[in-house]
Amino acid sequence: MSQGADHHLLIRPSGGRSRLDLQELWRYRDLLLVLTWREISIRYKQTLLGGAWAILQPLLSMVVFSIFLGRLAGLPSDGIPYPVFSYLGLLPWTYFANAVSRSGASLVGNANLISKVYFPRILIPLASVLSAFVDFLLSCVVLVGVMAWYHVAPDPLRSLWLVPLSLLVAILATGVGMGLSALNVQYRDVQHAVPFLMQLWMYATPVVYPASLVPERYRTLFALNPMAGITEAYRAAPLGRAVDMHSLLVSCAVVVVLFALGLWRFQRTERVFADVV
Amino acid sequence: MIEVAGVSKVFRVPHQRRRSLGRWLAEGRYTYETFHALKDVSLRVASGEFVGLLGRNGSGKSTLIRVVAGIYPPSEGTVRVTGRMAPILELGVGFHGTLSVLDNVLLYGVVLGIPRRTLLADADAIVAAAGLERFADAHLENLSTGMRMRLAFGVALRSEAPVLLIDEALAVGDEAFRERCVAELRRRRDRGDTALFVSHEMALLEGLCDRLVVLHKGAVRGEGKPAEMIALYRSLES
Repeated sequence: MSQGADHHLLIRPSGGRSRLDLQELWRYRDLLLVLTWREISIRYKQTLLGGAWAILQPLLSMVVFSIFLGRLAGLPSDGIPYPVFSYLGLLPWTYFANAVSRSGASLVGNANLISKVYFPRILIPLASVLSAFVDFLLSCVVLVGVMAWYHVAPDPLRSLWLVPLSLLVAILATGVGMGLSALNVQYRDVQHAVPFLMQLWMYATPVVYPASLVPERYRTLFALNPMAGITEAYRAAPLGRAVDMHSLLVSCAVVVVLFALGLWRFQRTERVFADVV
Repeated sequence: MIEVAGVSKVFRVPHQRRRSLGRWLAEGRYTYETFHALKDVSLRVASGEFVGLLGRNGSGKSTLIRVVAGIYPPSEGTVRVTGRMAPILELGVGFHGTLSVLDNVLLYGVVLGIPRRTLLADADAIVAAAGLERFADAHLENLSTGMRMRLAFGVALRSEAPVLLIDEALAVGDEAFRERCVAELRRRRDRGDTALFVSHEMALLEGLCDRLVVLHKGAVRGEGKPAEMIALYRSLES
């Protein structure tokens, strides 16, 4: 035995409660990195504009929404120029929507890998969420340009809020993505329903309109959408406004619940992935 | 060392694949046909031993090797593996056509469990050994099947894992390619590596394996010296 003689593996019938094995995930970090990198490099292969699409997606949406909703429909924007207002909302939203739809389709898309090699299956939806994160970082750079263009000065200290807020979006997207990817293995309906689901979810989130527009009696229901509190905080923080801690805490709680649900669904299906896909 | 103890694997095959919600709602619960792919299989591959699995199509060889690889959880029984494993169930798993040859080396190597740093350092040498230096930056899809197999095998060679699982992965390719594979496997055997091996090529099994195990209809029918087991295998009714 030349190496790895201390490496032991015990395979038993699955059953009972499985838990997230973080040690194992750490051992497979190289694979996570490479899978993420593969997804990024494949995505914009054979496109003319390449990685520019990452920036164009939220930027073009901003232009369209500014013309139709800001100018023509005259939606209020809390006293900020509407393009800045909508871009700040589109930033976390575009990330969330991309991460969820990519990870939702990821398991089925990687069927060959799953049936030929063992690795913690959770790496597959995780790689999708991470690859969307790279797009997100690029579009964050554009935010600086958009704010400068409209002469909106950022609050440097409060902008730090964006770090934990982005992490929260990533956790939520991972939870939802895991759940959907597992469901998609059994019911391919999921991949057809996801674009529609994301569209509905966007209208339930104050991306293109301010939360202040929501009537008082619907506020509680509205706050149950975790993206609502996150998006509002996203908009408030860099402009130096106070973050609504109450609704953000509600969002955190819902994120935890959705993540746990997604993980549970994923692990329940995990044992039979290779048999089914 | 590989130790398979009392492993059974039952697949539940739906009578009709009902993957859509509509039909599921209309017709209610799934009905399954159960299929016993493995029945109480026990075997041991001591470290430094090469063991071949022999059996007709559908005898459970591939299922067994996948249970050992950790891909299928067993329905009953346990598998113990000591030493790092290189599962070569198919050459080039994870290869992607629109990525470059060099990128695919990195991708496949990491899938096989080779550390990324090792691969980054060795990628050029691997490509050169496969005789593909000129195509290092070409898309993999532009390479012939033979070139791809050569590349994949070259990557698999770099996996220094001492426990090999091989499922007919080497059946592809021409004679020269196969000879190279066999030479490499001999080197591994002389070095003291361990292997569990599926093949339909009697000459290969006889030449490489210390022992053969005959599987028939999901159960172990016999194990022992290669020549005897090949005779047993040939005597099995289909």
